[in-house]
Amino acid sequence: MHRKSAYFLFLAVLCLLVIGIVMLFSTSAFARDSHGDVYFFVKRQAAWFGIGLAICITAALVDYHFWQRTWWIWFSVALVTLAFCFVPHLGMRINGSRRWVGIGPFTFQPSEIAKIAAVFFLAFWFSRYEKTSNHPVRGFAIPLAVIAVLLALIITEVDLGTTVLIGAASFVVMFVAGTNPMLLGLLSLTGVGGILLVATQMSERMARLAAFVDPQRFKQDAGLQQMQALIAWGSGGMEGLGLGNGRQKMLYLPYAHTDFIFPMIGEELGLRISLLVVFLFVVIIVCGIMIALHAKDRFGLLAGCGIVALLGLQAAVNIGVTTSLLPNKGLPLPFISYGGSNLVACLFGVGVLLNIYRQAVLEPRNQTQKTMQARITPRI
Amino acid sequence: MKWNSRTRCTLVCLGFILLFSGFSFRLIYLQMLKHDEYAGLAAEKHVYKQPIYAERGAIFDANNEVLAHNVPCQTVVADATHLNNLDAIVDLVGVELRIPKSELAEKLRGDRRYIVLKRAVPEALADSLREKLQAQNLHGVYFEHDSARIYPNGSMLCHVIGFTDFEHHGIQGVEASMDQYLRGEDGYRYIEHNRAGQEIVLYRGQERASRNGYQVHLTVDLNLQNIVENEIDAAMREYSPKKATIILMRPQTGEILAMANRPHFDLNLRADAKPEQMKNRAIIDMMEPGSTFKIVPAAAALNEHKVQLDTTIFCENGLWNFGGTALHDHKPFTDLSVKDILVKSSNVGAAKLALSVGEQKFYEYIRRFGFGERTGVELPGEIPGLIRPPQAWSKISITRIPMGHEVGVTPLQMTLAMAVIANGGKLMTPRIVKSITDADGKTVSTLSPVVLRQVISPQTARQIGDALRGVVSDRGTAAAAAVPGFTIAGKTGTAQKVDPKGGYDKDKYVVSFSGYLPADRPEFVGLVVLDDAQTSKPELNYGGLVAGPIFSRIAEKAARYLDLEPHEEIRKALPVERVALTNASRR
Repeated sequence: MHRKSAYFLFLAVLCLLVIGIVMLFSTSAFARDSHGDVYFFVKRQAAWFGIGLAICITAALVDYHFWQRTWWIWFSVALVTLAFCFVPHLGMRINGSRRWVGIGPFTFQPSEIAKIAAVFFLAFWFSRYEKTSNHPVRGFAIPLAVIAVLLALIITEVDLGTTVLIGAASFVVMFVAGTNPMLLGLLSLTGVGGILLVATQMSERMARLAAFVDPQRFKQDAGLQQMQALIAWGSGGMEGLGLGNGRQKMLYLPYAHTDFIFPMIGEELGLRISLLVVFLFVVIIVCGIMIALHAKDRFGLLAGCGIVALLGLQAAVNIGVTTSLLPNKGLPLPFISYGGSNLVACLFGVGVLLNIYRQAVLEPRNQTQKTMQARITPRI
Repeated sequence: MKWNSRTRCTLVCLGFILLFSGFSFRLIYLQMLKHDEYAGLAAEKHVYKQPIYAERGAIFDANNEVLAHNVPCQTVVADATHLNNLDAIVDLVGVELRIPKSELAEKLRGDRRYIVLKRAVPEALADSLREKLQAQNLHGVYFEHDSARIYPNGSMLCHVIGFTDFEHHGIQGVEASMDQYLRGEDGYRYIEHNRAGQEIVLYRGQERASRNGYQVHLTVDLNLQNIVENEIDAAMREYSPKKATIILMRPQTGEILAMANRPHFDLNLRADAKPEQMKNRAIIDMMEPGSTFKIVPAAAALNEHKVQLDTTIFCENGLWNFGGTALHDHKPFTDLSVKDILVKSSNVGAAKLALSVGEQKFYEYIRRFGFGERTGVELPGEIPGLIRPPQAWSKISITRIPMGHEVGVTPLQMTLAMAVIANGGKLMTPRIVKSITDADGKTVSTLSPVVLRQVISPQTARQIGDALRGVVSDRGTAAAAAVPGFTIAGKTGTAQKVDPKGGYDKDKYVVSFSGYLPADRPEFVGLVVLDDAQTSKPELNYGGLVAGPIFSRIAEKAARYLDLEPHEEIRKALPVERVALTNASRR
């Protein structure tokens, strides 16, 4: 089974990408900032799609140990670009958050680099200090402190969603690596407490939290998006209204082409396709974990786990938010939502997974073939 | 238990699978179980049933002259919860629509969501107001398409046409009686709109087109109506009666050709009309007809073969004590033929004719002539009149009813009774609606003449007609009603008005003349009624002297308009001298 896992993984990713581009076509035409061009978002996403695939293939071809050796470069790049967000003219402020850096016509989110860098760092750290992973300082305090630098930068640019995502992914990697479960439990408690503390400090987050607790009461303001998402889900029903026939995208549901594209899938294509999307994510996670389990070394295992955790948690948060199971957080749905940086980052992660698979499954087979060739060499 | 990394990794995987299974159940819950609820919510938000208003049908006269039609206009409404700058809006709208600012501010206070500021605002004014509101970025004032009912002829035929209320329901006249045809059916279309309120044309849903109202064509001829209105206005100026009614009707079909009442009002200014101006007295006023009613006892006696036209009846020298009460004639008569009883309008003679028929039979004839029941004309609010049955009569009723007292009839009933004589004894159902066509002019329904009953034999009708010709001769009571060049038949009526305190008021009269022309081939029947006409001397306040000349003038113009061939014999004869009421009072 695990020998086919990479194919299934890649197939699932492609399916999601196709669904994503089709749904973007359907929803983005009605988006507010489409610059008068119906194809504006589709064109841009198609370009990012191409870039992302190229990066994915490149990552699949590059030996993943390269990332193990150069983790500190990526970590530094992440720190620097995150710092750029606060530099005038480079950093862009959108909706009160400084998450974007603009270079020429392109904008990207440095936090996407930070996600990958965090995973690479943790994988490197715990593969190097495998024996002491249970140690309170070596296995817990030091990696936590390094990650905390990243998180601190991201949270100051007001991106609670990505902070939580990186925090949770780090938690998963540390758990797999074997950090003391007691300490991890303590960490998760303080983490949740910290999030609540930060949320209550920001009025917008507080309103979202309150709206989550009582969506009916806040359906006009803070809870509007989730209420509209529920209406999209419900009115889609079993069959869906038909591709292109969704009503909620008509300015009812804000960000119907980015963070809230999943309810539009539910409204237009019905329960079957929305369940298929959930199933494809499960396929990606299971295949990803299989690849990680069969990695030929500890770095491959931990990096694979981290990437799967990033993808899976991001999808889970998005689905949770759009189905009103979680308070409103702006995280895109991997492979489907419009958004270049995230698409490229996710495809890069897939590329790394494919490389882990190649080294674990394909290359040993080549080696066996070599030995077998040697064995059947006729004795003359 | 000590786990290695691989086990923990598998554990993470299981955790994810559990989490995503949870999502699957959540999706199934939302999309299957909550489907109806949220689909309803979605429909509530997006779908809007937009009415497509039907246009009310127009009303035409017999020659397709427009009597009532619609002009598009706007109704300006406000939603108090949307107003963003009350003072600015009050200033702007008040000036533009000419509404006092205090009144406007009072209306807009509070949080009512539908406040009508002004109806029937012309399109141009509404457009300019809309632009000014947009320019100043003021919200909360909306415009609704509407149409204003316009009556091009103003007060002419006002009682017949009637009018509509703000919701375009007819509430008077033909507008009310033909409302179900004029109204049409509103259609609707389900439209969806986006959050900004713009319609998504792509998703236009179920739609039912509106059906515009049918057009109603009246039997009334506006040219004849104009003649009648001019004459009734002249009569109002000359005699200042309290009320006046003139009806012209085609006897063979019962078609009403003209119908005018005074006082009247302007249909376009109906809001200012007083109730007494809005009454169609031709059908809702009860009057004592006076001597015009004498055709009934005469027709009854002739039709029952109790008398012949030349049978002489002793008229008691103008004073007959019957049942202990004196019955007077306006002049002492001795022996009068039945014909002369009508010509001279003898009360005693008429009473004796009724007596010869008997109470029960006489009553039946009254009813057969259509008195005491609604005529069935297509106008609302008609009254049946008041004809008491013989059981309720006093001893002298049989002598008073023949001269048109103790009965209540409507002017239309009286016209119809005269039409019976003109139409060979057949009572027609009067009609004001000629046909109904749809908006494209295709005929939906044509109303054909309805013969209600043969009241008297054609022979009797002819005999009465002969007698009525005598009325309009220098021998008769209505020489002034003559029309040069035509033989004309008719009957005068002068009834003392009933005093509200009881008995009859000696100084107040309802004077009338009812006749038709030409006498041998009647083209139209007419009735002129003036209630409480003011004349310089009471003795001039007679039907023949007041109502007769009005009828004469109308008949002359109408005959000219209808291109009637003047009667050969009379054309050669000298014109009848008009009785000029030079000393008539002019206030």
